[in-house]
Amino acid sequence: MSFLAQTVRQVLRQAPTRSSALTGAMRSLSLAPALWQQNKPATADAAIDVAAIAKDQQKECQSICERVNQQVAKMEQGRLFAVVHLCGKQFKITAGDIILVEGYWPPTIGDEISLDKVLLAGARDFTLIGRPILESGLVTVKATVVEKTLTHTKTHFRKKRRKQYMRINFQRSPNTMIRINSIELARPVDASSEAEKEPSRRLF
Amino acid sequence: MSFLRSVAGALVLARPLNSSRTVQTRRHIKRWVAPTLRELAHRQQKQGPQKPEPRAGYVEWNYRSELFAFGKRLGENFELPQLQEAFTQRSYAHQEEEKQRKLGIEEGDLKIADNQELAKMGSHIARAYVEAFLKQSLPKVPKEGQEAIASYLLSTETLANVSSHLGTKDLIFTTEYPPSPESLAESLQAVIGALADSSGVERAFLFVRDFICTQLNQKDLLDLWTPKQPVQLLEEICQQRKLGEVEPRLLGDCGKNTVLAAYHVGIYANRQLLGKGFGEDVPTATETAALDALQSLFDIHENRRPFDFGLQVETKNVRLGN
Amino acid sequence: MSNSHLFLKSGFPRAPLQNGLGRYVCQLQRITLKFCKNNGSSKGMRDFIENHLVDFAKENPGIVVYVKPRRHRTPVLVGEYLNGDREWLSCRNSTQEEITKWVDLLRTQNGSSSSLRLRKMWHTDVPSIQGPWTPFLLRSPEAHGQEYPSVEASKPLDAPQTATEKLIELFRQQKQLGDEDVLSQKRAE
Repeated sequence: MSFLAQTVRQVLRQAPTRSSALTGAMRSLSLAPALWQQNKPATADAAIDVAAIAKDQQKECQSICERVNQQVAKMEQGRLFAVVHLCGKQFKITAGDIILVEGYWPPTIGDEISLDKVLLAGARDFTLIGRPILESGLVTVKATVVEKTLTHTKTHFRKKRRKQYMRINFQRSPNTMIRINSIELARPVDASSEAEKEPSRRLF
Repeated sequence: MSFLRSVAGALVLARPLNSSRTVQTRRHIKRWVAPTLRELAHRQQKQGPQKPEPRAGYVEWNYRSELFAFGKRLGENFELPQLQEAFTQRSYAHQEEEKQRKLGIEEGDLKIADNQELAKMGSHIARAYVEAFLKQSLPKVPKEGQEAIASYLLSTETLANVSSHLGTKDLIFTTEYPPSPESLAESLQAVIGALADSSGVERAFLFVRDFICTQLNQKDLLDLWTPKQPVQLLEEICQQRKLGEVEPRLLGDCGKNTVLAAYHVGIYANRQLLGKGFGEDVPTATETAALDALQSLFDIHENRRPFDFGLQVETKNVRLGN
Repeated sequence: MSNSHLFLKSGFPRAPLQNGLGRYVCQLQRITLKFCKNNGSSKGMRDFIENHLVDFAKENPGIVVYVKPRRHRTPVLVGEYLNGDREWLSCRNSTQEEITKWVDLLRTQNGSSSSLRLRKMWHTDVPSIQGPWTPFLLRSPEAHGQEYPSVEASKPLDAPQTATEKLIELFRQQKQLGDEDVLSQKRAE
């Protein structure tokens, strides 16, 4: 008992220092102080360095974009592939592929649709990576809905031992098969536009 | 008589009394069902596998509406008599004529039109269009390569596969059932001919593009046409195009003198890398590298531009002239 | 409990005849509605035939519709597909709406779906466009002329400094420092 009391006393004695340490920890966790703790503004010569580096990068970026555009203009880019976001899943697709959407999805057979959420598009020699998606209208992905069907019958069986509890359910969920018709670069890639423009707001 | 009736009445009255002691529930599936089914199954097994029944022999069969639906399904407007003619094989026509002659019908009424003419026309159209399509979409491939790919597309197996997936199997009039691949292919060609007759040659071209050319989708073109002796061919082509002397070089190797040896060979011409390939020994690797170089020269790599099946080949480029 | 789907035929998604590339073709070839004219279990089917069947046939001219009355048997839907599949559905005691839904399902599918377990939700024949990785890819040029076995190449890249080496280095540093110290002392003198 005396030992316990001692430890309590020790804790009490250390309490002021502890509390300060705790608040420090809290400060490091919370967001607002982090803004105050930002690095001090860089000195003048450092700023010039950064600008030069940025310029270099910009130039390199532009030259790469130009090369990509030249290749596309000559139709030498070959087969394109894309990663699209569709109904909560991501698919890596190329022209002529088949993908399946699970669950209820309104389009019916024969519908021609275009998949707009393109996360990434690439060819043999280059890759365009979206942050998180590419600008709308840069890459057009066209597809046709080929089949709407149900899955095979899945059994959902529950049992609790020694409780006289047993349930069995059968379910079939809808499936939609989509054929990718074409993936194309709709307009030339621009190095500067994406950095400046704010991404347009998407409702869904 | 009245006595008899009263006895019967007594019996009827007595029955519920007897049966009330043993309560019997109604049996839904009768006792005779299982043994009968078993016997039927046994007989079927004894007979062995049977030939498939032609769908035309069913009660629910209307040939006219089937023909109408065939055209509508494909989004085309056929003239029904012509379409029926396209589905009539020569052997069937002969058989029918024989039957009628036996019955003593005069020669004038005997004539049953068969699809030979239409098939000839259809195959001509299909060949012309496929060649024009390949010429436009594979401009760098040499003549023999284009011919090999065209002959794959127009082979009996491909045409029969397309034909059976368009639902001609039940519509064809032939002596045998199911119809042979040859008659399936022939009737598809005849359908193309009938389409050209009833809606014009342009529609027939589109039909060929949509159903025959699409078979090339994501196909490895090297499977359809592999140049024999690729190294020699590459040398010839480099001489023709003045690319310089072909020179294979070893880019890397691993596992020499083992079972799992791998050699990486690159083919250079005028200090430019044309292609590279792997092999378990140097000659094989050189050959694969030459194939790779040829693929990139002819633009038939796997990552080439995919075929555009919405392509409009201009009619004047299709050489129909005979 | 039924685990029959474990032994079900499994497969990968395919569309018949590259459907959807050129033009889209509805894969249902013909549909047969079998029913009884006066049995109660066929009531929904009779209602469907009365109210919706003509519209259905008009909307889908590519599907042949057969109606087959038969006495005292359950109503049945049979769909036949272009790939040769045949899907049989019992519609006993189903209502008109249910039958509409089933007919729509038969119309939109490519073959009988209940007999196949899909193992992938994606199909391609061109899995790699930028090329597969090989051990020879992006190899440094120095590695080409390397003769094996070689002592240099067989060392681990991140071998840590041993305690002995550390001691030797410390000793050398001290010695250097010591020499400099001695020198500086002498100069000071």
